[in-house]
Amino acid sequence: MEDALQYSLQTLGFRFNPFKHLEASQDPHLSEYLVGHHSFNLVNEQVPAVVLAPPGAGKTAMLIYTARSCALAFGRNRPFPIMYALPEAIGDTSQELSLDQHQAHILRRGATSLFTGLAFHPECFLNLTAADQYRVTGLLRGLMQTPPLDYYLGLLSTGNPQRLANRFDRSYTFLPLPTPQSVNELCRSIKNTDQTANLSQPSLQEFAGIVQDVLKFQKIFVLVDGIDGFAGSANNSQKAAQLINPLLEQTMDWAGQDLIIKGFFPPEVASYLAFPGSIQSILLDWTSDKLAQVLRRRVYCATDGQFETLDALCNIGLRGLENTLAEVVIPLPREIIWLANRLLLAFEQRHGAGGETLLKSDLDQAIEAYQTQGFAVRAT
Amino acid sequence: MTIKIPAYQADAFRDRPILADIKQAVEQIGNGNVQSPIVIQAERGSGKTWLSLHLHRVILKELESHPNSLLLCLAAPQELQAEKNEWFLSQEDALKLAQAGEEAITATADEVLEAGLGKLAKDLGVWQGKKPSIGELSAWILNKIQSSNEAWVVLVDSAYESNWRLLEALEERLLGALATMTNVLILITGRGKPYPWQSPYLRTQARALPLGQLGAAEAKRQIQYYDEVKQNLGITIVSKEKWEQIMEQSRGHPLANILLAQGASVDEVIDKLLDVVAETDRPVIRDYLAALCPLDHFVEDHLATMLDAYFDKENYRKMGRLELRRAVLDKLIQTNLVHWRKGGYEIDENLRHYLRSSFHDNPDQQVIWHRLCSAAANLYKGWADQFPKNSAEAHHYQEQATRFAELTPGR
Repeated sequence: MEDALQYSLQTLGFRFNPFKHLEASQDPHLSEYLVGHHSFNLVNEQVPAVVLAPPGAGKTAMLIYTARSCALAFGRNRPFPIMYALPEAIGDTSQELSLDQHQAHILRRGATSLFTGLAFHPECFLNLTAADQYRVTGLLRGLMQTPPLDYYLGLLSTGNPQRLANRFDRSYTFLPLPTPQSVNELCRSIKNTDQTANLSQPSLQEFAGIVQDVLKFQKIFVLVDGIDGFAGSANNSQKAAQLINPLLEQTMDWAGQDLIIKGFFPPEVASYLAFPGSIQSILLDWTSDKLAQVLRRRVYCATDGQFETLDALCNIGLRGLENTLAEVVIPLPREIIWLANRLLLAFEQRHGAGGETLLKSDLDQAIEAYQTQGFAVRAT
Repeated sequence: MTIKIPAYQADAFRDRPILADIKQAVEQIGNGNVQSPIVIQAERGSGKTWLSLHLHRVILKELESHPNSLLLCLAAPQELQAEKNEWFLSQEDALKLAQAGEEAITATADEVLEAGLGKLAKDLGVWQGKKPSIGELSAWILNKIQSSNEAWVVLVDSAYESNWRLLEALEERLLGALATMTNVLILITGRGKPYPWQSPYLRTQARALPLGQLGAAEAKRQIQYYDEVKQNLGITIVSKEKWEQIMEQSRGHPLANILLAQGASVDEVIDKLLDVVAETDRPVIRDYLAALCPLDHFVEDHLATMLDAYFDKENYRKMGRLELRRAVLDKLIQTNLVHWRKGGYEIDENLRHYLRSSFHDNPDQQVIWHRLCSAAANLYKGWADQFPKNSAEAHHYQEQATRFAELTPGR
């Protein structure tokens, strides 16, 4: 089905299907077509904040956007990003998570993120003094014990850090690749630094100190996501909040130490969260116009700017297609992306019979599928 | 009489209101924040390249803050050689990029950019070794700019209309990182469809500034300047005293203003605007544009009717939609003289104005103009009938049908 759709789309001038991925973290083109949203400013500010949004509203897309903008700068007056997704930390809500456990998970993520970031920006390490290189290496060795740092160094043996990014931190996946020589030099320098340097487990505060003092990051962003993604929490907001609250209770103390927590949570959990009342929060809401813009931006990127609306593929009887779709769906990006994909599938099925434009019947078929087969959010 | 497009000359630059906004943005560099890139999107002949050159060579040097600057022209400016801290993409390299197939394009873009970064690295005094890699060149330049603790303005001219794989390489090697530096302001100019940068700093946080046309006084001064220095620059002004009539025709469009002052006809202005189209495609593109120029916007469904009316044959109606798209629409879009805006494709406003004027100025062409208007009237009438009588669509199309019917004699 996807191959046939791909072929049909190519005949219409698309490089790829921009509606294929419902999950932002899986979409390789996300950074090309992310649309601006008024909540971006709050997320980018270097203060604690909460973004509230139901599944499919773009929380993960926004989180990736924030992490990538930090990863791209890597220092240069931007915070160091740590993406902390809860499902990696815990399997179900029968467990509990203490503050120490949260810190340990965040540190582990922080270490792999730091190593990945250095692999993409080797000069940030290579330009350090020997004493500072020793401190950074000690930090990495202390935190990366299972598997050990040498395992991660092995992943860089080709001189290309892409594999590392794909596996451990997708914030870096679209970044410019450094030269293989500089990556190899980074690996050599790390290996040559005294291997007995420091195998004790550093604290989060020590980690932050080195990231700021040595690597010159302004602050650290702890981007917390995934509270709605693990077993048991979906229908038990209170329990889900209890898991994360030991961490959120530290928000103000941590902010004083330049550790900035940014939470990306579903709205139903909000009333149970232990965020201080002074923390700014924002509801990630979507108007019909904004949703239509989501589709238009994707069409524009996928066609290399040849056109920016599905109207360009319709006959004259069908106009304002994006707005029509936006008015049909629950106002969430994932919903409209699902419906747009369904519309293209309807077109593809008929395209074999010689149709070259999107027709009203394609639209009707897609809407019917949306209304009868279940909404995208439920489907995922 | 030879009609000539003047090459950039600092004295010939005429003031533009946009300069005040740009200077203000430059003064903000160093306030500790990442600077929002400035994007200037304007039509051919609006003065984007002149603006970039003048900023780099004159204006920024005169500012109290003395920012450093780099200029990357992705279409070589006429009759100029790149000076220090400038890189002009040569016509040969542009051709090489255009002719590279899908498999070779990435390597070609890297090769072309490597030469450009090499020139800038030498100018900046950071070149080391005999044959550095593109990654090293990029790293040296970035380090130089970042570690200088001084303000920098990086100007990228003619970006959107250049090869997009080159832009991809440029973002990867230079602009993506520069956009994150607090001591750098990036200014991008281009025409046609905007390039979808990957970097959030370059895309969602960019600020668009309008370039606008020349005001009446500046348009007059432009003509006076060339009249006074004609011996040196090879520009012969024949209608200085008619500057008001010229302004009426050019509406302050800088390139047309100076061409008309040299005695150029509207057809010659159109020819110069179409210089950017490959010579072999130029006649057919001109016909397509002429056929569609009566319309403010057009979509695929307009093509066959308008082209058949223009050529007075029923050729295009026989073509399938896909065939028509490839033969006509794709070619038009590639010129970057046509762009999508608010529900349809639009020919650049100035070009559309001259195309329409060309019909009116030439009695032989009036017949074709009337045929086009009649065809448009019939087409819109047919569309209006497809919608429920009182719907907004029916009303809109009926209005268009009436408008074009009024332009058709005997209806």
